Amino acid sequence: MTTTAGRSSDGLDERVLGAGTNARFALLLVLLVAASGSMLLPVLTSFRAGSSTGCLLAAGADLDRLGTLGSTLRTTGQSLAYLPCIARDDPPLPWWQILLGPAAVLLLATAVAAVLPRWKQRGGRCVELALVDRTGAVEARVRDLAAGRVDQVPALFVAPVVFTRSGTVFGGNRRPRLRLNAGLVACRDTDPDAFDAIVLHELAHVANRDLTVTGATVALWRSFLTLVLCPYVLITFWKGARLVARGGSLFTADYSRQVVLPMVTVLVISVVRAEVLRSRELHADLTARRWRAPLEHVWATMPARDDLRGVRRRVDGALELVRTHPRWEVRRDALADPAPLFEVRALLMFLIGVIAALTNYHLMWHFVPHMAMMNGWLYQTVGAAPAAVVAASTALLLWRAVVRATVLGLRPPTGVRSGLWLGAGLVAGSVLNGHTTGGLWLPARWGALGLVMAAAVGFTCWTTQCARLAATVRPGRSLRLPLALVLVAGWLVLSAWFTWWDYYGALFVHGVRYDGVAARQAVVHWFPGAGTVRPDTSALMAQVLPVLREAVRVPLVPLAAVASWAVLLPVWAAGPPAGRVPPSLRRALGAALGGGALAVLCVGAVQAWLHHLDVGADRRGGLYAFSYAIWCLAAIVLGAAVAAAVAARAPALRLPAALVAAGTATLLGIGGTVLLISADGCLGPLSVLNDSCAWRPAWRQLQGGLTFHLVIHAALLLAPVTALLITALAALARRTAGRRGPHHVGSGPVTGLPSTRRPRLLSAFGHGTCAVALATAAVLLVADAHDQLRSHAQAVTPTTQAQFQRSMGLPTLPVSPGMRWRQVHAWYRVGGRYLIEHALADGTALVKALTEARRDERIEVTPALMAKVRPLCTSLGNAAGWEPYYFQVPDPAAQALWHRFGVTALAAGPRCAEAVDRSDSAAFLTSLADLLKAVRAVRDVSGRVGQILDNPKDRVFTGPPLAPPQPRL
Amino acid sequence: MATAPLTGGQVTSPSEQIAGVRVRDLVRDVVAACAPEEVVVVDGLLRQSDAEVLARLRRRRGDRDPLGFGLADIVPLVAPVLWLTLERARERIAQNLVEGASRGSSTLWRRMLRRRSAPEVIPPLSRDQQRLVHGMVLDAGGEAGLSPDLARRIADGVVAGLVLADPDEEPGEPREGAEAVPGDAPGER
Repeated sequence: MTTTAGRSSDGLDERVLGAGTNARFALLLVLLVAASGSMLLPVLTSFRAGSSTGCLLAAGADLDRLGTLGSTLRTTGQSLAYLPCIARDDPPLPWWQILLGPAAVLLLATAVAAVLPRWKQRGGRCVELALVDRTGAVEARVRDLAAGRVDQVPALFVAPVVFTRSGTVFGGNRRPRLRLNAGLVACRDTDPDAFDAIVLHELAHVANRDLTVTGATVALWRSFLTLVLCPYVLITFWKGARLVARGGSLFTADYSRQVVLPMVTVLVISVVRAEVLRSRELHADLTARRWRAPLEHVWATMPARDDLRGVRRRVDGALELVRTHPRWEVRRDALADPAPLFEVRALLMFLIGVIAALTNYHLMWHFVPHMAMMNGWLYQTVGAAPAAVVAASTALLLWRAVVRATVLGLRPPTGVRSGLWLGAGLVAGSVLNGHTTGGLWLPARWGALGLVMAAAVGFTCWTTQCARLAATVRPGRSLRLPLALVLVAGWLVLSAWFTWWDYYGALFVHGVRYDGVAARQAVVHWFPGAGTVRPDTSALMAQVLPVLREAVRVPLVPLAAVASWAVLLPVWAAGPPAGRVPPSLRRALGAALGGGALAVLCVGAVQAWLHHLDVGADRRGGLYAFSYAIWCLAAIVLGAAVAAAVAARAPALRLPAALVAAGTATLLGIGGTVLLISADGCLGPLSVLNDSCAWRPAWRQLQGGLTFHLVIHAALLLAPVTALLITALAALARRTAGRRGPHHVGSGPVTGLPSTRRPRLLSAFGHGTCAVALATAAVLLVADAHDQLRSHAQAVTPTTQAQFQRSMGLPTLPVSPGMRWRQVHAWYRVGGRYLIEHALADGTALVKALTEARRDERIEVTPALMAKVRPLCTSLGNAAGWEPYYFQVPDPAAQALWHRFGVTALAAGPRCAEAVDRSDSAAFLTSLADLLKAVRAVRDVSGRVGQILDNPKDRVFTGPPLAPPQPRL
Repeated sequence: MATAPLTGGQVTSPSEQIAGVRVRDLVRDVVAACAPEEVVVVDGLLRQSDAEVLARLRRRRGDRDPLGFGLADIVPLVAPVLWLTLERARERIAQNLVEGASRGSSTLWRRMLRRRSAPEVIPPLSRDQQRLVHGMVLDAGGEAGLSPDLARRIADGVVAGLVLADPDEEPGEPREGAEAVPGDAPGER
């Protein structure tokens, strides 16, 4: 593999940066392994007894519309009860069973890969050449051809019953085997040129190391078909039959997806595999040609192709997509100009997008049963796998195209078109697998899918610009290191993106909206303590901060955001040799310094403004402190934006310049801001939170509500986002201006500028900034690790659940009376009856005790009565304490009563116990009055539930009641 | 293709025959003389029993290997054309003698049995029968795309081989220089 952008005698070496096909093979392998796990899950679960139906119904989900936003909110918004309920009623498959699918498929594939070469060389089909080539002439010729061209001469075989003028290589890279077909052996004497050309082509496959990866793909594909696809199809049809038998419809979004998804998977894999194999063939042709193989002689003997018309032509075109070999005309033309090998095909980008979406979804399914124990880093790991293969396959495609264009002086691709296709693939894949539709046929809000398109375009533009930068500043030098850096950065960026999209972003497409009032409340109470600020901008913050908070919850965000611009610095700063300053870097770093200074100035202005408000020491918490932090964030982002805008005016490499400028400015801004906040109180007119001068670290002062975390992570995240947006706007503006003014195609000449300054200083500054940026991100990552390693079940508390319910809402779903009956029935069965009966028993005992203590229409409070009532008060309080932890009643009227019981008894129970302890008769009587109200409410709940269920003989009323699921706290 | 009726000739059935030419030997000799570039191919075919070779020749499976050269054009080779034609001729001659003896046996069991069968032998032929075989080979060669000259040489070679076969020679024994006959020991490598 050559990694220099060198020019060969007739154009660019087609092997520049490697063929890139291994990355696409890896894409297929990851999809197959991921699909084998998730597609076997329904097969495995169909053999188990557990059912989640009870918990889903008790939570108030609509069984007919599972996966829709409403049903998801009902379960997610009641995680405290739902997670333990599922753990009890439908315990997840053990990990070893979940991983059984991929493991079995991989094992079988290994076995198949080992056996396949032996099968191919079996006696009936193949004969060892040495056994039949008595003169040894054929073998001698093959050895002559192989000498010095391949590391190892393949073992030679003849297929005497295959009469095509062809041959094939198989086996592994370490033990290659070459099979000569009868037609090829015969033409050694009659047409030696054709023999040489074809054998050299096959040897080129050996030299290009195509064997192992091709064999592995074939083996994995066959194992997948046998072990996964067949059982999956059988189970799906069996489910369909059961559905029909129960009178259900097969034409539902859910069932249709289960049928269509494997078909699409098979189709996509076939097309991409064929595409990769076709490009391998072209590479083998070119390698053989480099060895002076007379391939032209072979093409000259080929018959002209019939001109197809109409339907046949279209069918032929479609079949072309799944053929493993290009048409010979294409191969002949590729010898003259290997442009097809550098082309970024729209279909391929689209399919990469589809594969990414499918892989991502399949991987997510592995973890859905264990949702309760997932944590931030586990989510992140799930996103990292598809990100790696997508980043590698797209980056290699784009880099090759850009490097070729740069070396040959052609117009390089911008990445917009390929990004749009990649995004379309991601969208299509996610709609197809139902990730963005939420149990419906189509997404509720298509508009939000524009985000995916934007992200894909951003990613491809960024990749192409990185490639342009590397090819421009390092002409004739190895691109291996820059490519590696960009691949790692791209992987981080896509990992963060996939994780955010999977668990937060996709919800917007389902139709999630943040409730404005609740979000504003959240902003006001974000930072602990009292305080307010004039003018109040909480309404504005409520628009942005909920989204931002979700985004910075993704663990890799700081590292990904920093890597997206920091990796460019060492590439750029290393620059071309001989004292020529790399284009635009000086300008970019100058803009960054300006932007950083502006950010610090703006932070100072914010401090001066808040100081001017002259707030008392006890009013410096709450919205006051929070506004301080958020306005500092705004100041940093403003500095970054200005730096990016200035840098984007460069004649070339605008996006890298804007990224580096915005990133560096943000880093400077963060540094300045942390210093200013930490030294708060020392600079008189800039004091905001303190009156005295001391070193108080900013991360301690703004720790409340994780405000500091939000500010720093958001600032780092917004730097590359701002740079991308500003460059895009600048490009649009230039396009509009260009239409009016003289036509100007492409960017200006990208050449090094002669400089009298010391480029070494620039280089050191570049490397230093990169190191500081990465170190900052690493520190943030480590500091965040504790929170990110807390599992979902550990993280959910009554407070967070209430916050979630406030911001997202917990609507009672409009369902049919039958479904409502099932919901209430399940709620009562899963734990409602237990709580109600306890409360009723306590209430009855309480009323009895009070009735006995009644004298002349008044209750005589005696120590004996108090002692008798105290445990009842505590018990009622305990029963009410379950109310926030257990499911809400899926009937609005009953829920209102149930909530009233919970609130009243939870407050009155402990008050009653306290009054007894203090022997305070008045307080005792007041609390009892409240408790009696609570008891009345719970009686009403019981009555309402009985009225809905309407059958006293139902089994739910008989037998011992089931205790509610115990939350894991 | 010649369709002259097979008349006359006192020929014994294959199982009873004691003289004649084995198809595989005839193919090998004719290919060595007319298309020496195919000797390696024929040697490869000769490592299998007649039944196996015929089954594979008739199947004509395509080449679908992912790393193959990708040319699907079938090269007109002498060996397969000749072997199939001789087998057809032998069957016709035999069929005339034992009507429908072992035709249409395509079950797996029969095929397995056949693969272990002894090499096929063409018995000594009458002049008419030789003419028939000559015509069949010529026609098949033309159909397969061989040049008329080559087809004639092959047909002549076949007839010469049939005529020159020593009636006293025991066809079951390998001739000097020939490979071991897998028909006797199937699967031997």
